[in-house]
Amino acid sequence: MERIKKYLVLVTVLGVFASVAIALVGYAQSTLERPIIKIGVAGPLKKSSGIAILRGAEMAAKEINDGGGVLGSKIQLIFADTEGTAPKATEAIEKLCYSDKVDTIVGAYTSEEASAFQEQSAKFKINFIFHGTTHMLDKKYKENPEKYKYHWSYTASDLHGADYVVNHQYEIFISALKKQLGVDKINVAVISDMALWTEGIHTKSQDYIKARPDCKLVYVGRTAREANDFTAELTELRAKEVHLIIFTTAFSAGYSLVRQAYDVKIPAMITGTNLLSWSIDDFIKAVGVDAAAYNSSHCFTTLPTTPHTAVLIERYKKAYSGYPLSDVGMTYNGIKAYARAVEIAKSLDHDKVQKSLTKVRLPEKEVWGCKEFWFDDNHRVHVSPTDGMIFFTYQFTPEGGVNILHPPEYRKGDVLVPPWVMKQWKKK
Amino acid sequence: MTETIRLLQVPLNYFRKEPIYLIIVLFFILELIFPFIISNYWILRIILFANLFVIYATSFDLLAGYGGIISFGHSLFFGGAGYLAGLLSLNFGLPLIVCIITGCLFALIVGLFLGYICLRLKGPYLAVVTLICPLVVLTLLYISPTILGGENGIAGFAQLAGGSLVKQFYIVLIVTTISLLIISVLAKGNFGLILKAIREDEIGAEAAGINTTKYKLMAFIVSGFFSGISGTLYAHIMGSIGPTMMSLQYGMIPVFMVYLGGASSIIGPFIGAYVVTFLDLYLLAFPYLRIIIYAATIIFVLRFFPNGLIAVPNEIGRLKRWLS
Amino acid sequence: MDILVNGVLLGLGYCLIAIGMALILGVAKVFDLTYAIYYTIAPYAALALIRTLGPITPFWLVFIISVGASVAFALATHALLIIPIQKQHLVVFVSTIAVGMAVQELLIFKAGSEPIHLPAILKGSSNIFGVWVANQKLLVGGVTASVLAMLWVFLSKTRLGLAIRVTAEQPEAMKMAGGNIRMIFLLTAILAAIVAAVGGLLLSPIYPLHPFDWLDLLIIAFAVMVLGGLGNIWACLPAALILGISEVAVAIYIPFGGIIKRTVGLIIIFLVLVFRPTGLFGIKGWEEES
Repeated sequence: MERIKKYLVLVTVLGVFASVAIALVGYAQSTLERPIIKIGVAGPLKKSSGIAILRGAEMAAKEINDGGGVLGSKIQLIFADTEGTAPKATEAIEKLCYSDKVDTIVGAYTSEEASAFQEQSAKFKINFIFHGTTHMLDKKYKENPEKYKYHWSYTASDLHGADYVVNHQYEIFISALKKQLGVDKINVAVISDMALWTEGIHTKSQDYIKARPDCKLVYVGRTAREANDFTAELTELRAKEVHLIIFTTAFSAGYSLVRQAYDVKIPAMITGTNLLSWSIDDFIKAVGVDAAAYNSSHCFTTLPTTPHTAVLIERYKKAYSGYPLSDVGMTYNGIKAYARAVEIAKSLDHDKVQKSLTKVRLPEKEVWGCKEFWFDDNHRVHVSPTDGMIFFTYQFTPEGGVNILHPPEYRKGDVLVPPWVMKQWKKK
Repeated sequence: MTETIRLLQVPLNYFRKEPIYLIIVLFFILELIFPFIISNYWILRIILFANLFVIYATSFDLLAGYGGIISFGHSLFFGGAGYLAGLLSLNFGLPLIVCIITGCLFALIVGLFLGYICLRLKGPYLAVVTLICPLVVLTLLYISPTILGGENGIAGFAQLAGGSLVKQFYIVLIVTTISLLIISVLAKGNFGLILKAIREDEIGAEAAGINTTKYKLMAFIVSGFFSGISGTLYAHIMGSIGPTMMSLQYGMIPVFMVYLGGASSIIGPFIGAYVVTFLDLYLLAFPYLRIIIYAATIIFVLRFFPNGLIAVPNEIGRLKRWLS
Repeated sequence: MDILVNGVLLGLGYCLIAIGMALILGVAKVFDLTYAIYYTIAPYAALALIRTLGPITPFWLVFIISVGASVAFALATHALLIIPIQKQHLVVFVSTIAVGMAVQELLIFKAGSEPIHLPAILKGSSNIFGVWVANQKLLVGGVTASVLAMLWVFLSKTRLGLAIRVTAEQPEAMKMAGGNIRMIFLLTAILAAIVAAVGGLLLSPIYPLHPFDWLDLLIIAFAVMVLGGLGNIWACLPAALILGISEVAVAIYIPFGGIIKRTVGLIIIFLVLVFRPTGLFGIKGWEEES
């Protein structure tokens, strides 16, 4: 009996030592303050864009954790639904910061919340790595860099988009129409929805068309985000003999206009910025192959511009069955950037990470849709086909595929003009 | 000694007649110590919002429960005042207190207009007209993205008490208590009595010499004013406002709260506000379930307890008989 | 000319939406706000059917089952929720809104908040008086006309129709004659649900349907009913046409017209209720209860 007791004591003591040793080793490996990094993911989680944000975050977190985590610490994602409105977004952030005590927050979507979030980042002094397209965020940061230094944007700003379409995209279609239809003057309509981020594109597009001698601006319109009846607008466009419609939207108006334009066989091409067409599969499923054909838009991250993006798209398709929305790549890049910043800072302290975020440079092999990922002076991702995030223009084909039309090094195929447009306007 | 006891009996008798004042005072004292005993800031924040919505719901009840004028457009006051306060603060940098007061005065004036329009309307007509008023204003918001923020709302104006949760809590607590006291005085006194008379039999009231127009307008004004208070405070605590504040959603909130808790009382809206706010915010982690539980609760309560939760003690007897 | 053609077609669609609600309002005297949900459920059910059973399912089968889904929901709502508390108008109002919100969230949960698109029954477009319109819209116009005709025949020529009319105008008389009022109310609900479901199935190929569109639909239905006269079924047609034409006119001629369109309906409701609450053609069978 005595012997058994002695053995028991020995085993227990050894066991305690072993546990302490393992714990110490585990702790030593994690050189960060905590073994678990809590990353909040905030967005309209019921919408498809929100689901995309979620999945992008999941993909990044899984890859990082599988690779050993960040300096030994694993990432844990905590979700909060913002419902796409500012009050709920504020509540979501409050919950994440007060109740869950997260280390950083990625996500968000609409401009309504974006401003609210920028304020919250200043209030809680937490690094937010966000999808805020409106350039107002940049402006506010420039006015008060010390207050808003915790806010970072992983998407291009609406000014980036405006510059891109005006400098590169419209030209492609204007010259293609002139050449294939044999006309000298192209009648253009500019239609945008009423979000804050479309303001820049809306005005710049108008100025650009007005400045071109080979174009005539015949119609300007704004629509509600979820507008579903474009009969009136389409009737007017037909009356004004429009050749090219520049359509800028991020919401379901993007489905309705395309579908209804096809229904009435409007003799005009549609291009611009149609966020809904960024998910190739969903768009074709929603409006049908025939209505989707010949539509074009510009985008970033959803098409395999860089080889690694193609790899990531395949990985996504295997994991989630379906084509990724651009938000997937966005949050993915955001979390990767944060992880790198934490590695550089060797700490989770918000101010140290904040300073390190300026030093983050992720190569092509680690990100979606960029030659290189880094934040510029406005705390926004750098956009450029040579050393930053790549914008590209693409067009749907009648067979249900997609052609990239710009930048030239990724170009596959020529601009396709719909047959009914040809029939209506082509000079014999 | 007997003198003090005799003196004390006066307020006690008063409280016995109108226990509501005692309840309000007790509530105030209890919540004073909340910031010290509740360490979870999130819960504190939920209680803060619950208090805010108590003002909103009670102001609605004054009009609907006591006056029988059920308006589904109170979000016009709530959101309208909030927007005005936010706009003033953002564009002109006016001190918070000025913004809040202006917002409330605005709500008051809007109340006058709405009341005037609704004078001759009854029942479903009134409900529909009040329902669409904020929607019309919403359209105005949507077509001016640059000035009024459009679909995105406005953000970045000054926050109440510089954002300190504890200070905000106390400010809201004080405002809530004062508002409750004022509304109680009105409701339990002659004003409430007259409103109830108008609600039951307007023609009879007119015959008895009551100027129903004056009282109905006054009810609208008071209701609007206090809804405005809750709206401006809400806006300044959030730091941002969006068109949702004037939507049907926020117009239905006081309706749900009041009818859930029990109309034509002060405790009813109070209970309703707390229940709804907790349901709403606590379930934030389950985005889908939240609204379903929310709606299911309302449907369930209204179906079996049409007089609200405060009538539960009475209804239990009836329910027992129904079950057997 | 464009305005006329497009406006008339739009108005016919609106009429289809409004008729069902006018029925319920006129007969059961309740504001059943879940009405718009009957419209919404059918397309979602159809989509689910097509997804699970495959695209080769016979169209009429999908149609009938989806309409059936709406009818089932309407029956459940009326039997369990509305009829027991029929007299308390306000509670019905609030409860039905709550049901609507719950169903909306359920739909978002199951199907996302993106709009759904059903394949059109009549594809392509035709040229009517020089205006290009989608053929589906013409189908809607035709269906509305036939629904109105069928309803007229039913209500004026059949015994059941007579029973409904009596219940609408003199419920007490009906009760005294030994009629089963509850059955009549349920029957009305079924009729309304069928009309709404058909409307949903026909209109959602043209106008994409979101889970939260039910509020907009309610506004349309209200505008039509109020303009025509509450409870007055036949007034729905002219009222709907007026609404449709004015909306299209506003959309074309007024800046930001596309956004203000919906407000036209709201303003109509407002003006009518404030200045002429009985509507254009007078109220039928709906006393001024408060």
